[in-house]
Amino acid sequence: MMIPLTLVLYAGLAALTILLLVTAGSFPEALSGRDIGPAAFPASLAVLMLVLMACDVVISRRQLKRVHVKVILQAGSTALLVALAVWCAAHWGFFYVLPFALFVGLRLAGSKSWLANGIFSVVLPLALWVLFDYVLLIPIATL
Amino acid sequence: MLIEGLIGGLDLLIQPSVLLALFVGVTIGMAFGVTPGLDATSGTALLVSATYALSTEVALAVLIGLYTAATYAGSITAITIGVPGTPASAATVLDGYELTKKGELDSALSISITASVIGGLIGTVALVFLALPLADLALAFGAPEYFALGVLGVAIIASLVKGSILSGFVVALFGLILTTVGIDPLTGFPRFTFNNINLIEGIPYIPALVGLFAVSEALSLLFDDNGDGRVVAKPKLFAFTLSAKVFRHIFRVTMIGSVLGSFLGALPAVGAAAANWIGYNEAKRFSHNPERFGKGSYEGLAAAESSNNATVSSALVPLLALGIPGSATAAVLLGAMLLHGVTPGPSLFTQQLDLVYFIFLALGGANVFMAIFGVFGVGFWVKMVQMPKPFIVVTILTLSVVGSFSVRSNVFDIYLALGLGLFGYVLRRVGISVVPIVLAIVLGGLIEENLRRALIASNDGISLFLDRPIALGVLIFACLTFIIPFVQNFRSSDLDHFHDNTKEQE
Repeated sequence: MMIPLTLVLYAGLAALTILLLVTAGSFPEALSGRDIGPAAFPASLAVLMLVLMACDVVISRRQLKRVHVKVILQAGSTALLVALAVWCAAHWGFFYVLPFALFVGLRLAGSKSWLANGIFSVVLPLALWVLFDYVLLIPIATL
Repeated sequence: MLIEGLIGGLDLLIQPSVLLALFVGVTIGMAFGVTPGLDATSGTALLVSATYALSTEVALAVLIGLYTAATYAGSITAITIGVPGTPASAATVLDGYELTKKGELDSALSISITASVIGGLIGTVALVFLALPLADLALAFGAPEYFALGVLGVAIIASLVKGSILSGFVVALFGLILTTVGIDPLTGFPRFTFNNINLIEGIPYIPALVGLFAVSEALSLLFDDNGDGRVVAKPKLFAFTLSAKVFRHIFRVTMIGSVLGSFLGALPAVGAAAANWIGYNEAKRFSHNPERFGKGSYEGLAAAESSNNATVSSALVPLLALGIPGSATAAVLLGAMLLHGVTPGPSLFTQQLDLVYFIFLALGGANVFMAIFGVFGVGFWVKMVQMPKPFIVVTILTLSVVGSFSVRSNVFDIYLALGLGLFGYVLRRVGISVVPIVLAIVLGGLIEENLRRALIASNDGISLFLDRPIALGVLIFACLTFIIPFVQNFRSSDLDHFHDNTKEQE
């Protein structure tokens, strides 16, 4: 199924912008008479953004790109799978989860070689562990 | 001041750890550049967080090395398989791949590295001579001028990206709105945090950069066609075969490409990709054999390569002198500098002159390392072109996760990077560039803060800009960069509509 992705994108952005505009209405006044306060800058950007989105939809209505919904769902599922792996890593330990996540990820991405996938899934976490925790002194094992 | 700065910069550069970092940066940059779909911007975005714990000089050396080498290495892919490794080497395909098809792969690679190094060095000289006077001029700038320059930076990038002009501005505005999340700098009020403690400090820009550039790139590699399955031509391990006769033949166009690239790179938003095409076209006009261009011309290849590599250094002119990045990679470098407590702008030239000259010299040094790789090990990098896509994608996603987490040790930042990565992928699919949103995220704080500081310091309200001719001029120019393409866009759309109606009536 093909969807007009630009319109879907703009609808999402418009909903978010309106939410931000409503939220900005509850911000306090400026502390000084010369300042514009915390709400004015984001609110004016939000209004301008809504106007430009409306103009763009009207002007480029014949060139709006239609994209197969499958592609977006695939990309969304990939991001969700990575997020799931991160959630597991945060609960059970990064270096316990990463080799399994990499192995599954490689398989899903289309790599058929069990041996190459297995070696890569062990070598990359090891390399990252040595690089970050020992060379760069950035503790990622805490993830 | 020049000699003093050079000695100070050289002192920083010749430390073994810094030279090693530059070498490592060039190595990583070569790997990123030869991989189709990846470029200097995604490479620097991924690596910024890894440099977090390093000293400023070591971190900058790694990133400068990567930036320089990745811009060149895209040409290896362009020449060997006819697919530009980076957008900056698109014009290189025209003559580079033709030479490969004629069996002149080694000559093409030799011309490419020679022209790239000459272009890179001339661009670095241009950076020195353009940045210093611009920084002197900028010393007189106050809050209104910085506000105006920030607006101009975002406006130019938004107006020059591919696709509809309005969509560029829409995503730029969205990026600016994102920068207002978090504690308001002047009142201390938390804005748009929705009681989420992770947003109190605002949207962290490193995970945002990683998400928009690297994660979206990985998704794009996974689901879009990137020229897989092409036959890769294999050069000798030592493939440098440039004769003095060929060097004399390409010298003129290499110089034309280098000078043009140096000038174009210093202009905000033009970048290496545009310079690659413009340099190629101009060299064709000045060439004695324009008919050979596109059919395997040595001159065409040299012009394309010298012009894109000359922009690498000169693109840092607005960043170093004004603190305003003129390109996507410069925006990432700005993020890296801020992460290390270095604020680019005119004050950098008065307070940390050694560091400024260190950057100049590191750019030159990166070209030297790049030349070594290009002359001696190009065969190895061609093997990288054949690396299977699943391994590239999985590595990028893993580095993105680690990179997003490592700066604040916060898992929320990883989810943020993934969310923005998916958003960036959707933008790419509809033909909207992610560059305006990134630039807006980097410049948003500067724009709002300087606007409000200027207003507080003045009694005249918004009319204060009438008394500041530079700020007013810059703001008018920023408005024109929006209005002119918008009117052109509207007219062409109107004309299309007219033609459609005429056809329907016929």
